[in-house]
Amino acid sequence: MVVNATIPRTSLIWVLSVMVLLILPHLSRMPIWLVLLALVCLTWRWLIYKGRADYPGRAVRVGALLAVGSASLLQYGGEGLSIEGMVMLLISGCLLKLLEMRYRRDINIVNTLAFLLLMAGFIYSQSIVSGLYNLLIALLILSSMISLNRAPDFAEGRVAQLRNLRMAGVIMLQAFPLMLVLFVTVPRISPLWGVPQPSNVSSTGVSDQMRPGEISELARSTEIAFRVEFVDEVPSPEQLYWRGLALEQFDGTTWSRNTAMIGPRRDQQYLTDSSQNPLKYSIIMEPSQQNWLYAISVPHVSLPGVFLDNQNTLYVSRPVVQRLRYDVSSYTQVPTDLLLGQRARALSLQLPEETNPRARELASQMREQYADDRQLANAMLSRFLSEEYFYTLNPPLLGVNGIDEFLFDSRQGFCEHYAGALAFMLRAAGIPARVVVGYQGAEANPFDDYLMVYQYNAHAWVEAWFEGEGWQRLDPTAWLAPERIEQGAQMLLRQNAQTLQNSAFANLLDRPLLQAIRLRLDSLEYAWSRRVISYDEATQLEFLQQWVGAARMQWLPAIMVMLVVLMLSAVVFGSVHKGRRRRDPIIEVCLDFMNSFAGTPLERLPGEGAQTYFHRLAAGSPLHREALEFCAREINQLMYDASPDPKAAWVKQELGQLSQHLKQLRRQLIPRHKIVRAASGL
Amino acid sequence: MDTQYRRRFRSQIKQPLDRWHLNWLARRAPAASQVSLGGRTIYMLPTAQGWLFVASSVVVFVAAINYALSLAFALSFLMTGVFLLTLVHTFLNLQGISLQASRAEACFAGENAVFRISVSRQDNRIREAIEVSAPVTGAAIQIKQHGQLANLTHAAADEVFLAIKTSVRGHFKAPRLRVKTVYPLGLWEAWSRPDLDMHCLVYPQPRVCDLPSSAGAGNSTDNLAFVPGTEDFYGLRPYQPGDSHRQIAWKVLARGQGLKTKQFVDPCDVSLMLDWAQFSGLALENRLSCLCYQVVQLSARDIEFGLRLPGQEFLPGRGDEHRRTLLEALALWS
Repeated sequence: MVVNATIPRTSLIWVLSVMVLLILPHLSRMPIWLVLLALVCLTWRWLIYKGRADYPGRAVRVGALLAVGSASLLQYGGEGLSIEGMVMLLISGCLLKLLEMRYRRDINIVNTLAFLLLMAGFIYSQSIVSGLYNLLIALLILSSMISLNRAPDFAEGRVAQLRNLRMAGVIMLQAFPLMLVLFVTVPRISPLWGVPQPSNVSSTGVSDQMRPGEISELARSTEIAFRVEFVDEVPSPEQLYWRGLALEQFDGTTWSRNTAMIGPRRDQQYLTDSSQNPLKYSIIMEPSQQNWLYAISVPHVSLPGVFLDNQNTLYVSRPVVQRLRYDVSSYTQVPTDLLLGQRARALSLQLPEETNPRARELASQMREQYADDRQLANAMLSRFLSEEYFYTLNPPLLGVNGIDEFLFDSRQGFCEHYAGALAFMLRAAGIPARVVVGYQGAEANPFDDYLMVYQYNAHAWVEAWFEGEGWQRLDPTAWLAPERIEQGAQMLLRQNAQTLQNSAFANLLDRPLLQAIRLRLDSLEYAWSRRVISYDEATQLEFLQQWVGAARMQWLPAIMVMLVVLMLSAVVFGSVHKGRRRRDPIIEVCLDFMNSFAGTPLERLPGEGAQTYFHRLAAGSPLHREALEFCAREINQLMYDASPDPKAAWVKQELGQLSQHLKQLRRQLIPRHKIVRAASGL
Repeated sequence: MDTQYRRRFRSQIKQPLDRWHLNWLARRAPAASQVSLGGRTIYMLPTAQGWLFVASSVVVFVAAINYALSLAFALSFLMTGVFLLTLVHTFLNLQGISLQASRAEACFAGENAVFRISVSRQDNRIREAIEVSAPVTGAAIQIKQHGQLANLTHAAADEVFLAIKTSVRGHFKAPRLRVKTVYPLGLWEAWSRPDLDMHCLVYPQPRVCDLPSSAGAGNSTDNLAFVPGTEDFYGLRPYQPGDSHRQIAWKVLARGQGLKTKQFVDPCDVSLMLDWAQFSGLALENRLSCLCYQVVQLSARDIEFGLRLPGQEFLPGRGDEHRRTLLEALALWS
């Protein structure tokens, strides 16, 4: 077809709908000028289609290009080549191309760009929903390509569009097995070069600062933080402390991490300690946009770019912008940092001057009572029980001396209040302490073998350093509200359901059916991310070695090519077979009979019909005349009588009888013509 | 300069290549009046759009590696799968169709010879957007002809009319056809170059000249004959449907003698012979062109005439058959 040929009108509808669907998921990230550009371009193109507007002139096109170019430079130029900038550039390119899309060539370019935009969508989300959504768009792009290539007379109208869609669906379905083979077998390689990552996405989950009220805010979120699958048995809930960050710096209200201390841990003696079995599990983490991971106590993860720092925090070199799967071995019994360095000790005793005098006072009083650090810490924890303290999601707001106010006046708080206060008191009493933020507990999914950790599992607790024991976990919440630890945060939330009236979550918890659906969907999502999203180099190797066998790995390319060729030939044979013209069984029977005399004196004359043939034969052989005439009548009836249904029982029966007769006749006629031939030979 | 290089390129590289290609095709796909397209005679290559598609699939693949995006890998492989599959679909769109050309009407040099080509299928598979064209290779001026599209959706046969410009008189052998399709996705082009053995006769290009005057050959009245015309009243004959109303003898009708038609005749020289020697000053082709013009003109007036060529003589006659015989003789005279 000619490249410069104009576009069939219906192709435009396909392209426009593809563009709209492609832009929708990016809408929230698009700057306002780009949204306006999209509206203008799509409307204008629609008006051109309707014949109410003309194509933009050269001046308008150049002007628009310059305007969009400078706008994107202003918007994204400062930060170098960011992924947002590239995606937005791609979108604006597509939009501008829409306006000057006159010829087949232009629409081909737009269709190609559309595939690149599809890929860009996956940078932001790889969930099942977005996978299906993008599959739908791919289907529409294929339809638009088909509509371009059909003959103009056949390209318009609703039926034609449905046929385009069906053809696209057929191609897609046939391409699916090919895709699967390639997906499984084509070797995955690690990134070739560093690429810009999405940046302006707000982070979710636990942050690197802890202010009173922050975690209780998070506790209202029902989003998943990560999913866990244990290799062996699932540990009891009170062991499920998912450590995130250790916060060492306190300025009076906010606990934050000391960024100066971040660096890979040197002593990894726990790894050589073979005396204990590590707890093994794998985590699929939702994108948090943060650069640390969660794990139980002292973890070991072998993943490029991940390291364990001095505070047993797992750091990643790049923020988690995609679902990330990592396998962890946790050493739960190994004490770490039995010796505390001078600098580390100073850091974990640091307190701001002249704040919370009453808490300091209390701490020094208790210090005098208990000489032993352990006993002192236990006394501090018991104090939360013996005095009247309340564990609540809605604590009152606190002022400058927050810890004093909480400890002596309001006495109501969530985990971060207790953890903050305890760490403060421990430090004031001279015991090195730090606040740890992360998640606690998990909910098992009954439909699959994994646990879900929600944002409402967010938790804060304390680690204190004891002579000879190293860093030990102290959780005031476990003392005060043990049901939260044992039964999970959900219980607590249910008790506070009234305070959560607005959240759909409160209703959800009390509807078993909805709950079941939610869990079922989540198990699907989990399977999806475990099998599909996190199919990487290592998983691929493991999978292929299991299926193909380690010894036969070098045959893999051959196997792949063979499978692809096999599938393509299946498509060829399938459609050729399907397109084979089915002949009437009666005609088949007749032709069989007549053709069996080919090359003999009884041969069918060119262009001779069945009736003529049978009667000619009958006239020539008085012996079989009756049988031949009977067959001719029978054939006539079957062929022409009031359109017999070929599947009807009587038709089948008659057909069977007829072919029996013909077989017999053939046997009787063939010796006779041999004689004839012998006679003619004389 | 540029045109000189182009000319040299054409004469030294392109034309020998084209010739070689056509010879190769002639061995591989000999001329036949009916041709079925099969695997041996169908050739395939990706189109420009196909290459673009592959390129974007590679871009998606590289992005998938760099961003470690499983679904982008899947998309890239889906595109690869679609690309490979369209190879099959485009091939199947052409495979198994039959082409047959019907003999074209003779035409005059410089006119288009119009061939009717029927495209049909023996199976029930739908074929769409099959473009049939007749590229003229080797000619000094490449005539790009837009093909016509055949569609075999519901019907098992379709027709395509091809007009091919002729330039010289004689037997015209149509060039090899080019049958191609890019359906369904436009990523692959499948084509075939069947030779349907399409011939037609091309008469010389008529060249305007004086008609031989009927007086020219002599004035004796016994040589005069009459041919139906408009000049002299000749007689009446019974009316036949289709006769002009102006020629109806209304007076005769008024007399009650029935519907009659008036007949007129033109006087004409019985022994009117068109002669080769008549145009002695002209080049051979021009002589034939002039004779051709005269044959056409005289036939249109239904005048009886004959033709004398060196070594050939056609007795006077009239009618379509006579005209065809003479024109054929002129077309094939050598």
